[in-house]
Parts: sequence; structure tokens; C-alpha cells
Amino acid sequence: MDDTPDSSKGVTLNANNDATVGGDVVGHDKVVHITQNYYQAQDSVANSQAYALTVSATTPGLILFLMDGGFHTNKVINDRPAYEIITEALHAALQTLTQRSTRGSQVVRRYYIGCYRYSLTFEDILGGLKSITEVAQQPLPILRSSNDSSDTFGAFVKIEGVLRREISRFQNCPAPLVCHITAGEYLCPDPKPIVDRIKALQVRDGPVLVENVLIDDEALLMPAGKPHHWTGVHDSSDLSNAFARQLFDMSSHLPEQYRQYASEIGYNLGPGTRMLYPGTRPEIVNLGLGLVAASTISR
Amino acid sequence: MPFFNPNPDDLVVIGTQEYRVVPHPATSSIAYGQESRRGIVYCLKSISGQRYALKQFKAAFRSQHILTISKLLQPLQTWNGLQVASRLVITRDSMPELVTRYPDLEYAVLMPWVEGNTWFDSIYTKTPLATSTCMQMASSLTSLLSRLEAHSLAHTDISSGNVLFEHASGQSALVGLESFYGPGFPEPLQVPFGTDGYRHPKDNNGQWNSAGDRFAAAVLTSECLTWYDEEIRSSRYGEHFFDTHEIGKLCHRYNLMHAILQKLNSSLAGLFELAWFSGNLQETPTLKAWHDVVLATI
Repeated sequence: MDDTPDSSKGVTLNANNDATVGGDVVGHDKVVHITQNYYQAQDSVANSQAYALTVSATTPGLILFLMDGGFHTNKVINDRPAYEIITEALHAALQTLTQRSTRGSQVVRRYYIGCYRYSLTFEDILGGLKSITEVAQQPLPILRSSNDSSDTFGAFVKIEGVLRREISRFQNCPAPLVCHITAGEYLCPDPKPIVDRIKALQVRDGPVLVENVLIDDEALLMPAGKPHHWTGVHDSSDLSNAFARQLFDMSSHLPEQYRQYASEIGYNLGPGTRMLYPGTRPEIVNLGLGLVAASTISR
Repeated sequence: MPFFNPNPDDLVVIGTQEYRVVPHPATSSIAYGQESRRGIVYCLKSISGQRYALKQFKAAFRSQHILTISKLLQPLQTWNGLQVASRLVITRDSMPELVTRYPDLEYAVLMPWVEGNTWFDSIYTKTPLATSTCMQMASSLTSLLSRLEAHSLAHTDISSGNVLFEHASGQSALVGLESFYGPGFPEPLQVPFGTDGYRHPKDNNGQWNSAGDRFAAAVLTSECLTWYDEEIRSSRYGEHFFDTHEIGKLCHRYNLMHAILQKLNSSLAGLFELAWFSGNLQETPTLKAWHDVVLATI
């Protein structure tokens, strides 16, 4: 039985300044083990306290949709081009955000939305951040695809710029979320270092969250089967190709509050899953985009 | 498996009746739907033009419990302000075709659409109201809640989104009846712990009990009574008058509301003070006490 204490407080020094646990002198490895346990416990406490803020008019959520419009989105899936699937899922997500913000006849400014499309170029579809109240009054955005490749690296650099400019306004709000939707590989430099910088940006509620929706029905080694029974992507070994694994590495861990919301709406995502939603089933794509609204709302 | 995710003007057939989905008043491109704690409420219109609310529950809340509650609420549908107690529950037995087509509509509830403004609307938009309207609203609300109290019943989630008023008459109505408390009512799947801005600051036992409405109603009634005052309206925190963190404490908003209630009737200020600093829901003044003092004030 492992008698390793959960906390570094279990480690004491004896008269010879040797590290001891329960009176027994212990070696360097055990001290490191105990210390790691301590810090993991601290991380766990910190994570349970993060992402708990409520979305409201006084603490609005910030959501940035970043959509791949490169040639991969022309590929036909179930008789439809991928960009149509992406457009439909985006509309469903905006509808969800509007309904979550509706109280009586009002659409309350509970969310600020940025909506961007990229291929070799970067397009700001809404013309800056807009409140959900303003977004609801505009025609729903229609995505276009192109025959260009996708500069995902450059797109995330732009997103980092948006966040660095705007994040101070959201310091007392739920952690911002970047929702990246793509349909295939990029030829640009690896965007992971930029995404890591984005995930290092923080508000009081926690670090910025990055989610990836991958429109690809072959990305999962074990297909999701019944979407409502799918437990999510826990490990990069669940994925079939290097691109999906790259997205896995870029995706944040799903906060517990978000997992509980998914559970309420009938999904079975397990603890510790990544915010990566691979597939073409509308239930999975809509889950990915629907979860952007998963912060607790003010009731 | 198709989701029930209607577009504006879609036709929905429930039983033998046809309804159209009403467009959102703020954006005609999506259905008029509003997410609540347990699901989404859509606005439907019958062929004759009558408006109805269709509440589609989230997966975690779809259960036989809804059917049980709906049967128990049925006798209350004749009470003024409880018209949404008249409900039709969609089940696999009663409407197999509809539930087969949209499994997420199982246990959805069709009920009358309550015309009027939610109290949330008034607070969020800082709508000015005449003093007489404010008094009528407070009277109507405390009348309804004290009547429930006299029958050992409680709504258990009184909040600005669950209370509506007809501004012309001051008549009140309640919606969101799924966690009703009363003799024979089953405990809900998730015990209600109240809503931001209306939750007792010290009582952590939940509001599913006979005193469950007392604190929230004390705050909401005080908001109604003082809403004619411009300083009150301009001081509202956001989606509710009080910041959640200041409830139960001495603060500017408390002092302001207390002072206006004092001008109206010192007994109102006394009740508000007792509620604000009460140790738990049971110690909070009853709804009858509020109704009696409101009647004596107007």
C-alpha cells in the first residue's frame, strides 16, 4: 500500500536535516513524488475554482469563432460541402446564445461575439466584437469557401491580437473562449506555439479556453457511435492522424461546469476530456459549437 | 435523430391542433425561444391566433415527474395568476408520432402564453412605472403568494423572470411552476436554490419548502413598491436590482430601498429589514404579513 501523503506537509526535516515521512528518512525521489502530489492537488483545487463565473449583462462572456474557409471545406460529406455544415452549426450556436440571452422580450447583452473566416487571408465577418443583442439583429453570417490553402498559423496570430486588445474589458467575466472550426490539414507553420500563448492569457475566472471542431469522419480511431453515449477525446491515442493529434494538443481541458452542462443536455462527456470535437455527425458538431454557451447563465 | 429546433413560422402539430412557431421579437430570423434552468420555452400561435408556450425540457429533466406535477397543478389553473397550471404534457403514450419524430419533445409541456411583461423586462430596461401601478403590482403579487402560503403551497423560485405583470392593471402571474412545493407534490429532481438577486444569503437548504418564497418575494415586492422612484431605477445593478454579493448586508442599495419603503409605510420598511437580516427562510416574514401591510399602504 502506498503511504505517500497527499501533501508536502507530510515531509519534515529531522535533526540532521534529512527529509522524513512519519519519522522515516526518505530519498530525493520520494520527496519529489510527495511534492508533485501536493502541487497536483493544488492544481486540482485551482481548476475546480476556475470557470465558475456566471454569464450576465454585468459579466458577459467573450466568444471568438474562427472558421477555416480553405479548400478543405469544399470536401463533400454526406452529400454536402463541409462549409455548409460549418455554417449551419454556427447558426445553431448563435441561436443558442440568443435564446440563452433572451429574458422576456429582451436579448440581454450576455455575450460578445467575434466571427472570423480564414484561408490565406483573414476576414472579420462581424466587423469587430458585437454584443449578442447586435448579432441577433443582423442577418446570420454565410460562410464562403475558397480554393486557397489555410494559414491557420496567421489566423491564430490575428486572434491573439484581438484577445490582447480586448481581454482587459473582460477581466471580471467568464474566461473567453476561442472556437476553431476546421475541415483539414494546413501547410503553414505549426500554430501550437501561438495557441499556447493564447491559452496563457488569463482573466480572473481562468485562462482563455481553446476549442477545436474538426469536420472529419475519420479522425477518431473508434467512431463515436451513438453521439449521446460518446465520452469525448481523452488521449491523443484516440485519434487516427497527426493533424487530429495536433488539434488535440492545442485544445483546452473541458472545464467541469461545461461538462455538467453537456450532461444536462444529454451528452456523456467524461471528466478530463479535451475540447476537441471530431466528426461529421450533426450531434457532435452541434455539441462542439453548442458548448461555447456552457458557462452558467444568470437565471 | 432529429432535434426539435424549429424555425420561425414552422408548423407544429400537437395532438389534433396546428400551431406556428412565433419569430423572436428581437430578430425575426430565429424562433422566439428562451432558455430557462430546465429547458427552452418556445412561443407558438394557434390557427385562431391564440399564443401558447411550449416548454421543451433538457435531457436531464425529462421524466415522469413532469407528468405528476402537471396533474397536481391542474386544480390551480383557475386561480388568477396561475393560468400556466393548465398544461398538456406530450408523452410517448399520448402522442407517439410526435415523440418518435422528435424524441427530445418527450415530456414537453404546452400551456397558455402569459401576456404581459416579466419583471425582468422592467428592471433591465429601467422602465418607469406610475406609483399606482407599482402599488397594484405589489398588491396582486402578495395576494397570489399569500394565497398559496395559506394552502401550504410555494412556487419555490420567485424571481424577475418568473413573475409577469400586466402594466395596465397591475395584475401578476407566475410561470416556471415545475418545482412547486405543496402537500403531495414530489420533490423535484434538482431542489431549487433560488435565483441570483433573490436568494437568501444564509439559508443553504434550498427553497423547496413552505417558506421557500418568503425571501425572494420580500425582495421582489420591495422592488415593485419602489420602482416609481427614479433613483431606484437608475441604481439597479444589472439583471436584478441587488448585486448578489450585497444581499443581506448593509449597502447603498439596501439603504435607498429601505428609505423609500419607510416613506411609504414604516411597516413595509420593517418587514424588509426583518427579511434582509433574517437567519433563514423560516425566520423571514410571511407572505400574509406582506400582503396585509401592502393593502394598508395603497
